[in-house]
Amino acid sequence: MQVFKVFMKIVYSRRIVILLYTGIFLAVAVISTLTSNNSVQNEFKDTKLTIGIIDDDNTELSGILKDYLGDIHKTENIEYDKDNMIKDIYYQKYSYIIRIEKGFEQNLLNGDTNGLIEGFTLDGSYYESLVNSQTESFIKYTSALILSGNKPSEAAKKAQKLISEDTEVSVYSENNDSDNDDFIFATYFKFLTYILLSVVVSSLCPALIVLDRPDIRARTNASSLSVSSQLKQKILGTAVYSIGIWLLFMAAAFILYSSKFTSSEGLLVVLQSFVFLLTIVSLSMLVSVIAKNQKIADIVGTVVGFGMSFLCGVFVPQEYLSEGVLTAAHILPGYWYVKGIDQTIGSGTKNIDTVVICIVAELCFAAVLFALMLVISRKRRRKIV
Amino acid sequence: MSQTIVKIDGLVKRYKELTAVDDLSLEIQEGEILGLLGPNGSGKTTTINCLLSLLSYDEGNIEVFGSKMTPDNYKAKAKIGVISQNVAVFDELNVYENIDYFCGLYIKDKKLRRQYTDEAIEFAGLNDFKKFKPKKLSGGLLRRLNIACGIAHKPSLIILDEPTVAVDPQSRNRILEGIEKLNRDGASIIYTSHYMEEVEQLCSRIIIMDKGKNIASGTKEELKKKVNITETIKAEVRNADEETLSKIKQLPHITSSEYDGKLLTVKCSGGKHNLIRLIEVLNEHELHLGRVYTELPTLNDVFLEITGKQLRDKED
Repeated sequence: MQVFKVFMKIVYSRRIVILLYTGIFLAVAVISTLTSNNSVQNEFKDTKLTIGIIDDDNTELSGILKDYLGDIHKTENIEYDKDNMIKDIYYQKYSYIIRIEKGFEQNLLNGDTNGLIEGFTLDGSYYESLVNSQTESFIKYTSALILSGNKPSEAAKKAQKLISEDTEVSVYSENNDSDNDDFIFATYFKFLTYILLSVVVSSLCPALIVLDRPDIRARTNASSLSVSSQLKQKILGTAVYSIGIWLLFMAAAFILYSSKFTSSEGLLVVLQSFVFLLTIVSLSMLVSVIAKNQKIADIVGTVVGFGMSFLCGVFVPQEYLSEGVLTAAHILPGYWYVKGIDQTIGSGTKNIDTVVICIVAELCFAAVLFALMLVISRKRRRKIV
Repeated sequence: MSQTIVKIDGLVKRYKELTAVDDLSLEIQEGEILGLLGPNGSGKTTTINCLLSLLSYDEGNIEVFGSKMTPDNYKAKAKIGVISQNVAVFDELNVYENIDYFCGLYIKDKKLRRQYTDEAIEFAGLNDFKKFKPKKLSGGLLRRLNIACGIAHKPSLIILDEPTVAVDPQSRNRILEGIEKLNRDGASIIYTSHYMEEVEQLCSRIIIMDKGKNIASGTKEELKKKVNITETIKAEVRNADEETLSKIKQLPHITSSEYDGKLLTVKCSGGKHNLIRLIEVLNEHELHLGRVYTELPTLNDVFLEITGKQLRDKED
């Protein structure tokens, strides 16, 4: 098992790179899981503003309006001072300042609802429309209730009660089929595209490149170790290492998302990641045959890793990518992997037939890359000979 | 009677238009050091690669240890040690691990392998560098590591392909001494080189190769007899004129003379008193002599003469 042992030693010599990639990825995964409850807004809460109120009327109705505003915002009574008001709004001490004009109550009793209050805020602020709509509602309800025979104070309180009744609001997501856990789980597996590729290429390629160095190969071939035994040991090393790395990521996924992981959808995603691993291993073998040294292999690995992740919807969801980019991405295995995950658990429409097509496409990529590696490898050997 | 352990018969290896090895035949007897001498591109490494079945060949037959050499003749391969021209070791492994790896390609038993690895380290004088990675070794130490990797499994036949290229004289001497020791311990050796003096020092039999052909073979004494030179006289002379040089050329047994303004080189074939006659001529012309010395023919002379003749034959 000399070849296998030396294979693992070379892979081990790349442990810092492997640990770096794996550590960063798993740390990000853990952090995103821990903060996942706040990561997606699925509840609605009223916004509370700090409002300054200048009450020039000082009547019962103006008092009820202040109470009403105090219930839904944080309010403070202030005096009219234009300079101070400008300063307070500029430095955001108050989001909005309301001035209840003198004659507020009298005008309201007369049914005149115009010009009862004046508002001050930053130009173009959305607070203006929010507070205006709230005060206008109060004024219009109160006016209507007074006209319908209620006493002014009763009318104002009834209006306050009517407006204050909360409407339960929930955010309707376009992707309402996939909950937050699904999203995080799918993201973890999508990011495996980049991380698996980087980890496998950066450690598998050096071992394969070194063992395939012409002088080392000549020396090994001149020995009594058969070529088939060498090949078997190389394959064993590749399998042990790549499956080991994959199992590490699967174990992390199991710990972080155990309920999703063990669901039928989760297992299908796990299967897809394994098929994608085969593609990555084939790609790594091809890179090791093409690249003359490890530096070139690293560059190729980085370019392919980033390129595929950007084009195939790892960093940016496929639904946000342009038609042109998506069409081009069809020739990359990452596209089918990400699409398969989306179709299984992510944001896309669930369709098992498409998932199967994606898996078959990935297998085809693995087979083509492997065949290409064999052809180039054989050609290069002939050239060296 | 010694046993023939390698027999190459009519080997031909072509690379498209180029014939790298042209109808080469040779035999190696047990216990001998056979030198393959030739300039770069003369077909030495190609012959070795064919012998090891690392290369296929177009014609001929190769037998090693009595059986036909094929890529899967692992029984024969197990008895061969290869030290390649390039240092073929792993940069990722240290000295001990490298030797252990290559030894392990032949020796399965762990205990025996450990013993052999230690012995190879001792042999190559790498005891102080066991934990060193190859990149930290000097050129000479690297060559010694390369040799240790090739001989650790105690092969009966050791093939050294230019093992002293780009090595300092001290390391070269140590390597050559090591090779002699391996031979004394019973290994047969094929030694390829384009350094005449190494081949002359080491090899009991020499094959001179040029353009893929065996152009001369025999012991060094036999080879030297094949050339038309018995001695080369070199004399430091100043201001020798054409008349003097012409007289020297007319002396008996002088085959050639060259003068570069400082050193007069005269080649003689046979005869006695050549040096005395030469000095007489120089004295007659009142030329001041500096150092005068004679050299016996070397393999360099043999090679130059043999390849020179061939070239002239073709030109004719």
